[in-house]
Amino acid sequence: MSHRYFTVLLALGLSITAFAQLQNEETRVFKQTKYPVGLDNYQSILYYFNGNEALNIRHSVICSVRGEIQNMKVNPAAHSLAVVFPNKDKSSVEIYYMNKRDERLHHFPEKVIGKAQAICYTPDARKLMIASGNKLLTFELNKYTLVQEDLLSATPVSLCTSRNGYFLGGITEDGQAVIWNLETKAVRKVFNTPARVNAIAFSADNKQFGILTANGELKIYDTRQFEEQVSIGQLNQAITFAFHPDGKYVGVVTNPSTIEVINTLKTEERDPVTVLEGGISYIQFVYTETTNYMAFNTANSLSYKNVTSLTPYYTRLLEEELSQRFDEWQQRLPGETLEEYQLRVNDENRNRKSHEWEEEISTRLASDLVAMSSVTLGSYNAAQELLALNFSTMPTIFLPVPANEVSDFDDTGNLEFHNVKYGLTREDTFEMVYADIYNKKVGKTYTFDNRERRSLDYLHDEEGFVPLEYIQQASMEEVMLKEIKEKVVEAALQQNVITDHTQIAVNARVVNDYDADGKQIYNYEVSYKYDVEEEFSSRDDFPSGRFQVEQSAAAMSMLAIVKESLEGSLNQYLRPGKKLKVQVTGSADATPVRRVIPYQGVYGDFTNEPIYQNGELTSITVTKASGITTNEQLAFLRALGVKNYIQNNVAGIDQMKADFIENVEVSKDRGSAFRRISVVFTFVDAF
Amino acid sequence: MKKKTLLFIAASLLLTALNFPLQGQGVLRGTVSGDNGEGLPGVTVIVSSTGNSALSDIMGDFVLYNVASGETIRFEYLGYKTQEVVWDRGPLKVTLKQKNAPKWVVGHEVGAIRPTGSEWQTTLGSFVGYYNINHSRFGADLHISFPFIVISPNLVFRVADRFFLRAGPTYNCYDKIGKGLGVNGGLSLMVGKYTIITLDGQYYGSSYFAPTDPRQKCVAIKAGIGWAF
Repeated sequence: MSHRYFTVLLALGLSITAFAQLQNEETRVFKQTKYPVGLDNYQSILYYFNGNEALNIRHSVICSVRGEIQNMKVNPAAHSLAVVFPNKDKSSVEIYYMNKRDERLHHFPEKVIGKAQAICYTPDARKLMIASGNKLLTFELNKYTLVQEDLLSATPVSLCTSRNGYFLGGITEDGQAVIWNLETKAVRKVFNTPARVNAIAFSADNKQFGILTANGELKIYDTRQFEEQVSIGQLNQAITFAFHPDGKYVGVVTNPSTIEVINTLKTEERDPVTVLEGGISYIQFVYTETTNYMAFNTANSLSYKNVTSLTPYYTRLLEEELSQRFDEWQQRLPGETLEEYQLRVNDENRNRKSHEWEEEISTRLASDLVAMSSVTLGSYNAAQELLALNFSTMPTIFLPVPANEVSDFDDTGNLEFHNVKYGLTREDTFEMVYADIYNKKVGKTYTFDNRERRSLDYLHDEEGFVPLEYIQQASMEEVMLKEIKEKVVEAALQQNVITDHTQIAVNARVVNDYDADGKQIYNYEVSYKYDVEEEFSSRDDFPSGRFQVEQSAAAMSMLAIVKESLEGSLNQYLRPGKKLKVQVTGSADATPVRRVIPYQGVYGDFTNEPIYQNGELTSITVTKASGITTNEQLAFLRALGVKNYIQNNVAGIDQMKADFIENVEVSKDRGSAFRRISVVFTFVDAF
Repeated sequence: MKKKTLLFIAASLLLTALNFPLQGQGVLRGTVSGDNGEGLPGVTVIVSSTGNSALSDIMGDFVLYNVASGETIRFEYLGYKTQEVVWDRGPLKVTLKQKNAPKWVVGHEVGAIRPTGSEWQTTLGSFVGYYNINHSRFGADLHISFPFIVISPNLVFRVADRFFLRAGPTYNCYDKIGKGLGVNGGLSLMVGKYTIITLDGQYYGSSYFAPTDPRQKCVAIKAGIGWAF
C-alpha cells in the first residue's frame, strides 16, 4: 500500500473534520550530546553540525574540520554532504562522504571561493552552487569543475531551489527574499517584505513559495505569478517554517519551545506543539513507509513527532485522480473512428464528465461521513420551506420540507440517509451535496439536492485544461506511431528477431504545465515500452547479467520504433534549442549477482552518479574496476544503453536541450520478464 | 523444422524453470538497534549477494523484498561495527555495536543514585568519584577522577571534574547506557533534576539524571582512575 493511501485511510479513521491534537501524539527523541546548530535531511534522516563537527542522528562524527561550521547541506542523492567554515578572511567549502568518518571527497580552493555565505545543491544533485558576495559559482560534482559563474542581483545569505528546477530562492544580506530563474539567474521576483526575512521555502509540489518574516508573518505565494495566496499572522518570533509534503499544512517555529502546525486553507486552525527543553531552530516534514513525522531539533535532541493524523489534502487527491481519468478518457479507443472520437471527446462531454467524476471521487474519499456524524435539527425557514439539519462532521444542509410536515421531524433518530453524495469545499472539507432522507416516522423520503451549487470550477481556472485540438492532434499522431510500431514489429517478426510474445506499446498525450516565467505551456509526452511473456523473455529480451541494448532483441526493436518515429512523424517536435526531457528506465530482476560481472566501461565510469530509484533521488557507482556486483548497476547500465543509442542514432536530438534522466527499477521478483527498458520523451512547450 | 521447434520449446522450458523464483524467498522485515536498545535510523541494510539495499527508518525498521532464506545480510552504519547476519526467515532483530565504544574504568562503588518515583535520590554527603569514560577520536587518554560532594538530593558540588592528559579538544563522556553526560572539565554544578551546568559554561546533557528512562534502574557511582580508548 502506498504511503499516500495509507495516510488517507488512517486519516479518515482518525479525524475527518476535527483538527488533530498533535501535542499528545508520540514523539521519537534522539538525545544528542551537543546542540544541533544547523541541520539538513535525506529522506527521514537528519544530520547536523555543531562547532567544527558534522554529525549523524546517533551523534557519530561524519567530519571534523579546521573551523566552526557555518553551513551544511546534504547532497540530495545522499552519499555526501558539503560544509562551509571560515578560513582567515575567506571560506573553505569541503565535501565529505556521509557514511565514512572524515573521508573528504573534495576541498574547493579558497582563492576560487572567496567568502562563501550560502551553498545549495541543484535539485538533480549534479551541481553545487556556492554564493560568494553576489557571485554565484556553480560546480559540477563529477570532477568539481567550475561550470558557471553568474552575478546575482543581490548577495544571498541563504539559498534554496524548487524541485522542478525552475527557481532559486534566496534571502539577501539586507533581509529580503528574491526569486531567480535557476537556469538564467535572471530575477523573477523581489519581495519587499515589511520586516527581515527569517526563512523561505518551496512546497514539495513546486506550486507554492513561503516567506516567513521577523514581524511574525508567513505569506504563501503561488509560483506561477508569485501572487499572495495566504497570509498567516501572529507567529511570534517566526523563527523558521516548513511545508507539509501535501501542501495543506505548514509547521512554523513560533518560539524556541513551540511549533504551530497550521492549516493553510483554514488559518484559524492552529495546533501548537510545545517542547520544554526549547532550542528549536529547524523543522522539516518527513515520512517513512507508514508514518508521517515532523522532525525538529531541540536543545539536546533530534525529535520526530508523529503527524500521521493530519488530514490529507483531499482536493489534491481529487485533482490527481481526475487528471488520471481524463488521460484515459482522452485516448482514442480501439476501432474508434475520428468522427466517433470527436463526438465523444469534446468540451461539453468533458465538463459533464468532470462534474460526474468529482462527485464520485469526493463521495469515495468522504467514506460514510454521515454515519460518523451526530445529527441535530436546526431552525425552519418558513418562507422558503427549508429545514436545517446540522452535522457534527460537516456543514449544515437545508432540506426542502413543506410547512405542514415539519412537525414530523421531531427526532433525528427517525432519519435515514440514502444515496448520499459529497463534495469538497474550498477549505478542503467535505459537505453533503445530495441525499435521499427517509423519515421513518411517516414513511416518507425527502430529497436534498445541492449538486448544481457547488463544483470545483476554481480548480479548472487555476490549472487550465489542455485544448481539445492538441489532444486530438496527439491522438492522431498516436495512430501514426502505432502504424510505425506495427511495421517495425512485423519486420522483426519476419526476420525472427523477436517472437509474437513481445508486445511493444507506444503512447502519446499532451500535458499542461507552465514554464519558469509563468507562461502556460503544453508538453507532448511520448512513451515507449515493451512486455515479453515470461517464457519467451530470456530469448527476446536481456539474458541474465547482460545490459547492452544490442543484447536484447525486444529493446532493439523498441529503439528502432523510437528512431523511426522521432525522425518521421514526430520530427516536427525536434526543434533546435527546444527543451526535451528523456526519462530512461532500466530494470533488473532480483536474481542474485553471485560473482562480479565484468564491465568494460563501454558507457564510461560512474562514481556517485545521481539516479532515480523508485522515485527517490539516490546515487550509484559502477566503474571498469568495480565491475557489476548489484542489480541496481545492471539496471542503470541498461538505462545508459538506451541513452547511448538515442544520442548516437536519432538525428536531431543533439540540436535540442536534451536532459536525460536515468531511472532504475529493481523488481522484487526474479525472472527475465523483469529485465527490460522503457523510455518517455517529453517535448517541453511543444505546441 | 519440427526438431528445431522442439529444441526451442525445451530450451524455453529449461530457462523458465531456471528463472522461477527460488523456494524460500520472502519479505525480510526487521529492526536494527544500537547497543543501548534504541532503533538506529539510517543504517544501510544490504543483501550481500544482490547488493539490493534499504535504509532503516527512524524507528530502525527496514524492509527488503525477495530475499532468499540463508542470504547474508550486511548492516553498515557510521560509528558502528559492520555486522553480517544470515537470514533464516522471520523478522530480523539486529544489534550493532559502537566502534571505539567507551570502556569503563575500574573503580569501586561508593554511592548510588536511585530513582524514587519522579525524582532521583542521591547518597547524601558521600564523597564519590565520577565514573570516567572517554570516546576520543585522538586515541588513548588518561583520565583521573576527582571526587564531588553530594550536598542535597538535587545539588551536587563537584570539586573538580577531572584532569586530562591528552591531545586535542574533542571528547565526550557517556554513562553506562551510552547517553551523553557532557564535555569538558572544570568545576560543575548540578541544579534541579535535569540540568548540569559546568563553570566553564558548557551545557551538560541531562539524561543521566532523568528518571524517565525505564532502563535506568540504578546508576552506580564509582571512584577510581580510569582510561579509555
